[in-house]
Amino acid sequence: MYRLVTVSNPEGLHMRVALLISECAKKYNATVTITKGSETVSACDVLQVLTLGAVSGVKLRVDAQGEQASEALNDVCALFENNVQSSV
Amino acid sequence: MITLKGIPVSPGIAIGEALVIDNEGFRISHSVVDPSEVEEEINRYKNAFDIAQQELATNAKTVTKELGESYGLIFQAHHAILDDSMLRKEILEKIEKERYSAPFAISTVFRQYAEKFKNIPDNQLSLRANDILDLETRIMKIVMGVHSESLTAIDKDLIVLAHNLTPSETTNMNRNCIRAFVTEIGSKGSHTAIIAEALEIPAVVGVGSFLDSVQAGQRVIVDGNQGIIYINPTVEILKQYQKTLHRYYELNAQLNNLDNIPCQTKDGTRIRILGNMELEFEAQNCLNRGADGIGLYRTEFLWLTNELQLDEESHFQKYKQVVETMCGKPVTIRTCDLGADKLLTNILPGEDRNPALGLRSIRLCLSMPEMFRKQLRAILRASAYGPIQILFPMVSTLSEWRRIKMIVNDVFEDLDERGIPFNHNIPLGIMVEVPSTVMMIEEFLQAVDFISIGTNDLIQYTVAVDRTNKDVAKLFNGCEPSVIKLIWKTVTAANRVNKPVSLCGQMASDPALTMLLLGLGLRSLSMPPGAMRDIKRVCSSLDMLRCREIAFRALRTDNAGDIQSLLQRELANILPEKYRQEE
Repeated sequence: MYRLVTVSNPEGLHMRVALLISECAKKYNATVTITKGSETVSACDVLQVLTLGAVSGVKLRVDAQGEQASEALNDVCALFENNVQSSV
Repeated sequence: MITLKGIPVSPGIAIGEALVIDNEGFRISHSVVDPSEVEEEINRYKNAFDIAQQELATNAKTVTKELGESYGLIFQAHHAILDDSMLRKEILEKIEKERYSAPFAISTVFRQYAEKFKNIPDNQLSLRANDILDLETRIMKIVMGVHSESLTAIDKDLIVLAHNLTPSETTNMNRNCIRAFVTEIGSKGSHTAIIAEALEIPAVVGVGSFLDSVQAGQRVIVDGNQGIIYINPTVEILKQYQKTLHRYYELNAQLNNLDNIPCQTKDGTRIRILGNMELEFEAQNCLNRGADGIGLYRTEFLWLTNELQLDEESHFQKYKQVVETMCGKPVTIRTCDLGADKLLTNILPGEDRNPALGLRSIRLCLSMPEMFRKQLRAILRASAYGPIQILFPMVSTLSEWRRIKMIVNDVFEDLDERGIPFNHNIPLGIMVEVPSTVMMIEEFLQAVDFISIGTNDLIQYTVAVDRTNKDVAKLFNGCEPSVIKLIWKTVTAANRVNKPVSLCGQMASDPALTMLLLGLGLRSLSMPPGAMRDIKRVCSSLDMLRCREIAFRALRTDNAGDIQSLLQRELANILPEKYRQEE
């Protein structure tokens, strides 16, 4: 299953969000990936998520597979929806 | 032969072999290992990652506690980056398939990521390249630390050529082999300059990009007087410099006998010459040059090397060692004078857009009271072993001073309760380096035991010039009449109430300014040991009456240029053999 999200944060997908995403993805028994254009990375890998260079307004596709796919998908997408303050 | 030019920051001449340190501050050996060593390199890389993650976890905790969650988060993020499975896979592949050495593999992969970030068009995100390079440096230090490639292992006559040098690098070098420093970036007052002066070896900084054209082991001549570097010099030039070097040694031998004579002017006015120092061994150098004490013991370095793991015991040991070396001569210890930006090793791009006016120095200490207390405890404990005074940098208001006093009193009580001996009458003083402090100097003088004028910052804050910015650096000038008036006001006020006042900063070690400073009423100057002979010699040829005349003339002059030429002319009259526009 997958869902489309938009990076609404003015600072783009910054370090704090990437950190929260990876922590969140690791919690579930599921494989979560994030795709921007033709690039797909594991949501657990902070560095890979950051190198997507997802600036504000970019559309991303979040995929989840596995036992807890729907929970993982919900939680990870929620992080995009509630703007996380950058400050880092 | 390649000839390079830069900013001379420490005088002298040196000839030696090139030791090239790569851009980010360490040498990468582009080395490929034997198949039998692959296993070991893999362990080396994994081990380095483990240690780095342990460090980051501790730092995250400390910083979160001291500065708040948002600062600590950076370390958490760095920790998480090292868990990145792709990153690890790529490094592993470089070692396994291409048989790269661990440092080479790590560095190659990290640089690729840094490049990726730099190419992101969004400014905020592309700044993350700095995080990657910072992490790379951290891991490299660990990888190199356990192996023999570190600078400690050097044992030849060497000229260090680097992009920039950091405090931890310069201390880990084998000092007996380093003959000079040359760096691509930097300016007067940069760390390289301070260390070179302390080691009394020549240094040229701000040369611009040149490391690519030099190979390790090539012969290099560094002329720290003129700021010229020759790589692979011709035979004629080499001969000429060997001759100069010889003359230099002879001259130095003649000046040796100045070391044992107390500094005084021609008419017998005693001038106290104090030392500026940072590393413990420099105390001995100051003593050898006949210093009357230590006027400025910088302790930032002790904070930097231990990365926020400020350890009271190790500070105490260093302070004790210095005060014991000085055999009863007073030691002025300055508390941490770092900016938040430096403390967090530059991983906060954009956080502090104006660091000179931001959370730095005493402000940073007051915002991290636990750390500050630790340093104060260490200093106070050392005060049981000899005369120590505490100098607080960048104090700009009296309320700040009162907060400092409160913390000091707390530490007093704490030590008393635990029955630890220390000097209860330890003199407490401030650096006068912000114009607001000068405006309130009478009030400050009632509250403090002594003052020390820090000219580098005083000039910066008075004329609003960052001297490391080459576009405006020319405006940074100690002869600015405004600066001279501030010094005069400060010294006069201190002398009126009989409170000790000294001056540290580069103005103290410039022979051309000595008569101005004495004329303004200063009797105590603090400088690096390498400058002491020159200043002593100048003092011994000065007449106080004439100094006062010169100072008053300077106070009536309205521009820096005229004051400078007045002083240069006067110096050339007094010591023609040395200062009349020589070679």
